[in-house]
Amino acid sequence: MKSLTRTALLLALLAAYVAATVRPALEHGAGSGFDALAPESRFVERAIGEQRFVDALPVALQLRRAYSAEPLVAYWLATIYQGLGRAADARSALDDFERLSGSSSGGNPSTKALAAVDAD
Amino acid sequence: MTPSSRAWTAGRLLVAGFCWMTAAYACVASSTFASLQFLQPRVFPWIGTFSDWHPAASWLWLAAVAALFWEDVRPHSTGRLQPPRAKRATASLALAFGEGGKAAPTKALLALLAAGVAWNTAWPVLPSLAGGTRPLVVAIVAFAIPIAFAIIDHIEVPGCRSSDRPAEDSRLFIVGVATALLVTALYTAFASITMAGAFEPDLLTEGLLTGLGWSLVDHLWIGCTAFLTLAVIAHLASRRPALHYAAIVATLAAALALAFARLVGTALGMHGVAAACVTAAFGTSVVATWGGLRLRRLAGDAGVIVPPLDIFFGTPRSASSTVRSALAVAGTIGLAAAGAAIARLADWDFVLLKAGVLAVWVTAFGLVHRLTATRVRVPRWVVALVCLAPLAAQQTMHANADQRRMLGRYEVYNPSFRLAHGLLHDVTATPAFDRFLRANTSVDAAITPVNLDFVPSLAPSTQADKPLIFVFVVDSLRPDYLGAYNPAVRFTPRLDAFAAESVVFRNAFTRFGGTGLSVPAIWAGSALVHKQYVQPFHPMNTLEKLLDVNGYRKVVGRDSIMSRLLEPSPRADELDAGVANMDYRLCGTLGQIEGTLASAAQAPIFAYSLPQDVHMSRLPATVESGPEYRGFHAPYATKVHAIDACVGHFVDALKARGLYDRSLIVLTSDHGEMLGEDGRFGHSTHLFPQVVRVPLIVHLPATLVRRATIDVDTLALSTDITPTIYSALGYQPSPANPLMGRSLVTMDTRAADARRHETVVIASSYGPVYAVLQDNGQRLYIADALNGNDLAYERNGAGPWSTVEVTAAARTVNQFLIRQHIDEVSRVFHVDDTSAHHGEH
Repeated sequence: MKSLTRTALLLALLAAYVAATVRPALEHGAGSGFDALAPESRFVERAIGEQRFVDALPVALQLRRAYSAEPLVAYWLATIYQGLGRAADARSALDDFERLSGSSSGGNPSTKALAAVDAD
Repeated sequence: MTPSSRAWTAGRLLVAGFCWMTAAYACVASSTFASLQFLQPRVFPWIGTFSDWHPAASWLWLAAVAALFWEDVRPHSTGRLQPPRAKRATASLALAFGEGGKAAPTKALLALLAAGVAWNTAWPVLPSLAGGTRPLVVAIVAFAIPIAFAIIDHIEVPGCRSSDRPAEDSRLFIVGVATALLVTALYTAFASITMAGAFEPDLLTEGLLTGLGWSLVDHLWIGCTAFLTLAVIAHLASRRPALHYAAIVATLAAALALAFARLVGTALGMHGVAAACVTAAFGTSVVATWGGLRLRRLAGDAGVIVPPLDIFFGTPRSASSTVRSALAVAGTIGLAAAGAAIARLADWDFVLLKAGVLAVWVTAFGLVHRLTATRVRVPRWVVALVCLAPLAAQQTMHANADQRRMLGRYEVYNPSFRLAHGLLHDVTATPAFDRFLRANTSVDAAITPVNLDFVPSLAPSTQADKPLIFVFVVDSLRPDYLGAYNPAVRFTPRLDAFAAESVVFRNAFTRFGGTGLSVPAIWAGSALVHKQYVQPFHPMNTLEKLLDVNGYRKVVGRDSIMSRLLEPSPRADELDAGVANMDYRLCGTLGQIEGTLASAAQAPIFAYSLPQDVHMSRLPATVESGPEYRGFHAPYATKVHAIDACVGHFVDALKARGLYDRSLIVLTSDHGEMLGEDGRFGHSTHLFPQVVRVPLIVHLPATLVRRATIDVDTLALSTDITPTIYSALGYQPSPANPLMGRSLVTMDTRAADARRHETVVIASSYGPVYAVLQDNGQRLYIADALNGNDLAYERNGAGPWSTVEVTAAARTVNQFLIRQHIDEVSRVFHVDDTSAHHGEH
């Protein structure tokens, strides 16, 4: 009986260690379900790279509806609106991006460039 | 020589060692970059010698194997009393193979090995290995041979096993915890010694206590995990000795395989099923050999029956063995110091350093295991309390930004903490992004070369006086070791004088961290698809096309890279002919170039070399250094000083011949170097500010000086060198895509301003590590898909770089920019999605 109790204790402790070890990896893996490498996402990014903003916009908007908390989608929209010359929308999307990512990106030159749309 | 003797054990280790060396060579050769950058240029000549002599050595090895196993295959029995299980095994084999059946597997294995050695003689295997899956298959076979030997060991000595009693988990508990404490103490002392004299504002009392606290918790965590795993196995398999032994073998093999994957596999970029088989084969090979040899040794001590763990780590020692124990402790300390010292001389992303630490952990565990008495019993509540302590600490200790910086500095001095902390806390934040980077790095698929041109329909220059062109890419030269960039440098007077007569681009960066792709990018004048190499290279070689159309006589060092980049040409002279790549020295090369200057009147000369004077593998371990080197890495600085004199002499020679004002001289490097920053030396897969910054000093011909518009503070890239040479010949180079460089001498205010706001993505040549350079080279974000982390640096003007926190927003934006860059590369070089992404999942 004593041996069984000891075995159970050791098993419980080992399980705790395993859980504590794998938990961070699981937490990182469990996101909103958004996949930046899914075909729709890649379509948007490639369209932005080729400056096909008109093509990119509807897919990006569709992704925003599906993943409203995803900061990358907001950033895409800011870039797309900037490319389309829609300064107010770009500014609003950039605000969304900063809010959703939980950190200011004001110092980042890429976002500074987007923010400068207002001044144009 | 009986199988239980020390000589026999040593012989077996040599035999297994030959197999492991062969497997290690094959693993290195499986990486295209390592094959091209290390094996073929013979960076370490002894590795090449091993490959050359491998077939001949295989026969010696076979003879050694036959001698070692003679005892097993000779027709009479050894007369050793066999335990009942051994008798049963022998009887089974006799049934299967007839008379002498027990020796049949050994005989069959020897015959198979003889056939393999004969094959290796007729078609030498190692020299033919270069990238792909075949080297991994060779590695698996090489690892499998010691496993086969170990199987024979276990057939020969199957009875020397017994299970731990469950109560003995107390001993295991003491061993696990004491090992953690011993290693923590050992490396804390080690850190204190190595830190002496260093200026470390982050490691004052608070920093040291923080480091010590985390080190203790991390080591205890690992010690408790080892204890709990082995103890649970002992409890569950206590009534089945064979199962207990097998479970321990599997656990140790899995642990070693994991370590191999994290250290070697990561460094070489090994992924996929074949790579997983190699790692499993490595762990099994080492553990099975270890177990087999120990069983053979123990079988010599008639009647000794030991618990499974004692087979691997030794039996408890008596008090009379105090001297041996003391020697073992001293040996462990020596091992720790030697590992760190070797890693300082030559390492690859801490592989040697961490492997050394791992060896110390195992040695310390074995030492404590032998020194711990077997009759102690630790109460349950003590076990629970001690094991819960590191768990609780991990849950409650959350390092803030300041503490993370302290721990980062503490890692520099405490390699055991670096390994332990990395194992427990390095969690890939964005695994999908890392897979994306891996899939687009070192692309295996065939790529058809595209035409790159700075000038459509390139015709000979109409410029009357074509300059002499000299391009010196000094491998691994850092700008801050030149007086032109760093006023504290006092050991480069001739280079400083040369710089004073030239243009010093103060803000220059390489396009690739690592020679493998940096040099091709310089010649192409463009960032390239991540592949070594697209063949034929000529359509992309904008510099060679320029030289050919203008009738230049090319005087070039045809190293292992250049031989892939250049077309065969009657107008090409080879520099350093017959000299091994890694033995190229700038002084010797400049002497050869001087010899060609007399013919400059007949045809303009273009000379190029990649001297290795300051490459980490060519630096002396220590040097006699004067006060002028204080604050610098002296072995490196003395080599820079040696270059300095030769450059000065070469400039004098040009001036004496009246050619200096007609010459375009470029002095740069393919990448920088780590010289002890964060405990790192050399350059490998990683990118850091010290690796991506390069010197770029350009002496312009007088004709160009008059019409040049230059901004020396604008971001300059190594891919700008070739378009600048186009400008020197009177062309107006125009990049056909965003990946191509810009001329640095025709950059008007508007172009310079655009460059200041440009985002540039830099890649490691050898691994999925990418960097984003922004704000005119003031911000650097690095995504390291090998180690699953990212870093950010900032600087103000020409000031020092400082690390900054990577915010979620910065990560999102920079990863987007890297994907955009890779998409652009795919567009320009027509990389098919399906071919590049073959290994993505």
